[in-house]
Amino acid sequence: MKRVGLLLLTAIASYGYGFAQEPDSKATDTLSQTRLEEIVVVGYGAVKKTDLTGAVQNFSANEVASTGEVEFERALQGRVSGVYIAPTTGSPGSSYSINFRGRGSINAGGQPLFIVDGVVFSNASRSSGVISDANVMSWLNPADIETISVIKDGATASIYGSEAANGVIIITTKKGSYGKSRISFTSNVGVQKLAHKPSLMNGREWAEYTLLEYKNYSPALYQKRLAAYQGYGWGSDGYSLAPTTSWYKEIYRTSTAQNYSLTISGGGYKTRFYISGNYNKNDGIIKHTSFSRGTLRLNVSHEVAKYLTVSSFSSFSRNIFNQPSSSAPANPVRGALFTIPTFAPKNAEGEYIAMNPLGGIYGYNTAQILSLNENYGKNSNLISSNSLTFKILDKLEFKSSYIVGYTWVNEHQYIDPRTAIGSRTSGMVGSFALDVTKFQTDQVASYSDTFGILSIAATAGASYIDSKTHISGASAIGFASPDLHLLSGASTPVAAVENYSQWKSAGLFARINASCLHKYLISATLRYDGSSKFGEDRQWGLFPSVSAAWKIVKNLKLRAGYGVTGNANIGAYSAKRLYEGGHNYAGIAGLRPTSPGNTKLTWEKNRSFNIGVSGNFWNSRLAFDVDYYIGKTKDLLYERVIPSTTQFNTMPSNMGGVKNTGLDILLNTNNLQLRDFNWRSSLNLSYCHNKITALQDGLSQIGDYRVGKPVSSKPLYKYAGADPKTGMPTYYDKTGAITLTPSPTDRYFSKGEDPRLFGSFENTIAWRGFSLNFLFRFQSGAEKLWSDKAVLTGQTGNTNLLKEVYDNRWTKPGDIRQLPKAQYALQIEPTASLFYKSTNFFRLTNVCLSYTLKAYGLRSLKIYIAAYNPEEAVYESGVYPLAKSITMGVTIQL
Amino acid sequence: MKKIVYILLLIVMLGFLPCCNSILEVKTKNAVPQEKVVDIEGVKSLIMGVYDLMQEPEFLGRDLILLPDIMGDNCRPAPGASKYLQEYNFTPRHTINIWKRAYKSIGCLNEALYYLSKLEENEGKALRGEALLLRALHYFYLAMVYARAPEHLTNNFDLCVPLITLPFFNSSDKSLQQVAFVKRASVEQVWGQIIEDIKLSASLLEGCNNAPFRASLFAAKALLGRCYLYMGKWKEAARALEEAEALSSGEEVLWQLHFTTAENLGASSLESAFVSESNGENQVAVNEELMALINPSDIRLKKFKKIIFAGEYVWSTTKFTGNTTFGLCDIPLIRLAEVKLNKIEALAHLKEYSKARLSLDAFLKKCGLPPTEASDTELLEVILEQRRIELAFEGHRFFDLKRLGLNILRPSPLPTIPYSDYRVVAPIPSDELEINKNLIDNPEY
Repeated sequence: MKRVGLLLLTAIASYGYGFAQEPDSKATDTLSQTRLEEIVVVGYGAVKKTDLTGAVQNFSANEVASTGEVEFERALQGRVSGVYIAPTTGSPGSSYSINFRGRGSINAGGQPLFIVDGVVFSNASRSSGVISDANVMSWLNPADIETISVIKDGATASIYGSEAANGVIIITTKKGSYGKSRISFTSNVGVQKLAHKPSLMNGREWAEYTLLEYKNYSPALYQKRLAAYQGYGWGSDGYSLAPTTSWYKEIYRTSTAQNYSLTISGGGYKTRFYISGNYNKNDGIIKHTSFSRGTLRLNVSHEVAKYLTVSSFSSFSRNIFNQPSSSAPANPVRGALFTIPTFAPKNAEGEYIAMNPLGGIYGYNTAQILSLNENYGKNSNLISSNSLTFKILDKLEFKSSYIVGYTWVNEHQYIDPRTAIGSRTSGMVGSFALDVTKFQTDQVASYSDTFGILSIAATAGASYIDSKTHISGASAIGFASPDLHLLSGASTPVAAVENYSQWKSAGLFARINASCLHKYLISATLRYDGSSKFGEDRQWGLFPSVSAAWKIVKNLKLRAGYGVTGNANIGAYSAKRLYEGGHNYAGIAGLRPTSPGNTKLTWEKNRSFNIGVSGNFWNSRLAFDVDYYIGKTKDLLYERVIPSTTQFNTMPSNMGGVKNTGLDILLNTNNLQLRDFNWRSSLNLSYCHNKITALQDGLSQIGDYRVGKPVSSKPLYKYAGADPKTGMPTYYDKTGAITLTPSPTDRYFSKGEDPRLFGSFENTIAWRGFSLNFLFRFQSGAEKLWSDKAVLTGQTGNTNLLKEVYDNRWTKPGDIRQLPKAQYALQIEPTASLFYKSTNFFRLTNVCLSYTLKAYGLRSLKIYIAAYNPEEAVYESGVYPLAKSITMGVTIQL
Repeated sequence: MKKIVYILLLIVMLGFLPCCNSILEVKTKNAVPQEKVVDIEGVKSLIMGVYDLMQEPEFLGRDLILLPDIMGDNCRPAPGASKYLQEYNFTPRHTINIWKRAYKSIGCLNEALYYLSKLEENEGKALRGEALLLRALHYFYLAMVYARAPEHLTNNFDLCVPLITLPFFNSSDKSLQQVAFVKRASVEQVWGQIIEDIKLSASLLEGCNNAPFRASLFAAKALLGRCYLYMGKWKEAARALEEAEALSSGEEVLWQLHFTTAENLGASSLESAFVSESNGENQVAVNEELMALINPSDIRLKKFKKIIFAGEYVWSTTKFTGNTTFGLCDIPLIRLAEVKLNKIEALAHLKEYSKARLSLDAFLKKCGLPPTEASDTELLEVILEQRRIELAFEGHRFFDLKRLGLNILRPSPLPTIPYSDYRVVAPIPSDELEINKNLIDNPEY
């Protein structure tokens, strides 16, 4: 968990009737009507919720706020059926992995398309490499969000054509409303600490165990080791007096997060405005790490004439990331786990010891590295979405949008000369600048009319995007003093880099929605899309869709749809055979080909079918949405493996296939409704079966992939425990017999990293001004490699080890144990099942208690306290862990 | 007013309707298309790209230099080190693996040679020689890692590596199956190609003066001698090596990988790999048994140092210690001392003992050692021992034992690996076997 601070922010909501509407539509509807007729934003328009033909889940500002969540992604976590959301790391300000209805692709990116006030955000990295996993949506102040529309089915998403295959999330921001001006201020503060940590050996156990490793390996080496340990003063047996340092305490801390936000909105007869400012600072649970953000937003719309409205939604944000270095010996997450516990980070004089005397890859002092080195990034985002809306006829509107997005990134990396790594070069500095310039324009005409029993709404338009990324930077070594931190203070320049990439996309689209007797609904879309990323011969593609709904009775609706969407989430130049510069030798410029290219490379196309039923009974006491889907992706954007004797390892191709089938269930109940007491529940259940249907060249298995298995499934050795006779690690071979030396063909495929079943159960109990919200989340059917465990059970004598290695290893013939005997250099296959962990859990993850007061001339005053206790995430290695937190906040609205 | 709005609307609509393909045209600024690399300058850049690849630590920048000594008897893992432990223990499948990198280089070289063949006869003569010599060097390493030496096959298994001399283009005129899914050539074919390439390169490199960072006639002759020696063709070896020696003007290094400050491998360098008091990766120590062979008066002892590491006394080398900056050190590909030792060895095999002894004594004298007292029959043993000391940590030891069909000696307490052991030949990478069904793996894997 990262941004506890944001919590209260999201609570500002309460514009009362702020449900989603077209950015420029005039809120002249009567209040009651708006309440009843919830409007859902879909691509290039909006429809009434009751008229939806696809699978779209909608969140209003109020709903986001009532979750008490900090980040909008986390507000959605567990609450959207069919969409699996998880933070990629626990680092403050880092991104989320959002997986719509199973992975549809093998090699191409799998993240959804974000559309904020019409601005398209694909999940391209905005970092020169110093900062990792930065959230591309971190510029957005969650308090500004008015609605979030999560489009799950292909038919509804396909109006976005080429980039919609991974799902679409449409966000609109607040616009202000006519009438009295409103002011809202919110502030909150939270504390957070590490949620889970494994149990490790203490100094004494470690020394004793490692001596035993050597004793069982070579008497000569054992004597040398013993002498060394005695020399450190660990007693005559080499271990009984060995001290212990808790490296967890050296690396981690209990940290705070804070957030402040002020918004002012209002409007007159012809003009509406919304202004907001926000400051958020989140200190990470690893020392010296943090994320801070400041945002400013100005949304204005003005009616120039009856037939022309102009609007401008602009935001500026500045984010500062302070991250630990992720390179292996400097990574504090691994440092806390691996550093030998017998050595302290500082000597008696209180000075850091750069390297512990036993050396090894984790001999580096990660506490020192963390405190002296710098690894920060500053990014600024200016995003401005401007439009002219012409009301040509009563029923015909034309909207012309012009969007510019600028992102400037400055990243800096400093390795202090006092650290072990820095001492090699008397320090190192790297400084990088990156800018992304994006221009987007949408020209959309919409028409709606009613002919007797038939109502029609039609939309047609064009969209064009041009995105350029430019990066430059330099690195240098050699500092006279550790007080010098910048390039010009260094003695020797090492490298200068500069890079550029550009992509463009263009599309034409049309949609027609027809409704007959308000009972039979049909919607059809067509998009013709082109992208520069593809081969010269195949840059254009057609994406059709059709969906229909039948309102069997007033509150029961049957929906079905079929749509084609695309995925273009690949590098800007993947399809070209290009020769990359920078491969220099002896001062002479060199070139090397980057890819064999493919002039026929084209869209990955996802064909999906969705059938669902929505119901709403007894005055919303029971409401449900159930959807069944089949998504088939063929001709994947696939890195076809070719023999490396061609000088290339892979070739970009359209090959292979993936199939997802699943069921999404969303059940909302209003259990008890008394005069001032209300209890509501929400059950959210998603089942997804993901499998590869084809790979390449008729092969049933290649690399980590196998036909019939999930995309995230990996081959692994089935571990059979320690041999009872000898204590050596054993494995099952393909016949089920036990072997000491398994071969790659003995591996079987794991369950996959994506849970097959996941969901949440949420309850909200309100009594007078009090409200208690608690959410259970659960998942099952997945397992994940915890590769650090291979190191923590490894026997190379230079890292700390798991406590269970000390307690539960094989010690004498006849022992039936999982872990093998202590012996130097005895290693278990790093991809053995022993290192896989189930990710199943059922846990109360979120609780929020609030009290709202409406008195003293205030519109409202809300105070709340929220707790978050995340699941134990399994990360591959060295990834910033999740924190648990408690946050308190207050919101005042005038 | 309304009219103005309509005019505005019309302009807006016309201006932004995407209509043609050129709308998707994009620029590249750090990469060039194929048509820009077909000239002399382009070919030269491609060849520089190959040197750049050779510099990688997983290739000639470190591992291919270190592992033959770790898998022989010159090095052992430093206390507490784990990086090369499995190679050291001869754990099956954990061995030298240069397949992908070597073929990436060969692909670039084939491309360079293909473009050169389209140019005028005399244009780019030296570049052609350089590309051929580099290709021969890559096939030499591939042949030594993935097969046994020509004179020492076991059970007549004579498959070497796929022999590829043409570039790969993803074009539709030939099916991928036809051009990409290659078979392994025989040991004889690969060594034949190596010799042919070197001979041709020698004739092209005449008068070109790029040594020692780039290919030269001297390097070509020396490599030719080395290859003949590996093939057991003593006469041809002796002749080529004598020719090479005649070209010498005394410089020690004939061909070396040069690293500029920007290319410094730092933590991944050879200096970092060898154990030291400074803060490198400290993965490898010198085997004490090697130190026992070195005479106290031997001037080469200066290249070794004894230090305390992890509470123990261990030997290390200063051969790769950077002059100015940590890790910054050139890596020799061929040295004059090797040429001399190769020649002496070839002569000894030819039983030209007096000639061999004369050269060997001269060599020993340079090292500060007295003339050898070994008998003619013992001479070869002395030569190999001198070779072990002189060329230690330069990527020779394992190959020297292997090429002569000798058992692979290991530091105590590890057992000797018999020459016939299957692990003496590296397996074809399993992902390569998985995709290319035309490849047959080496025996017993």
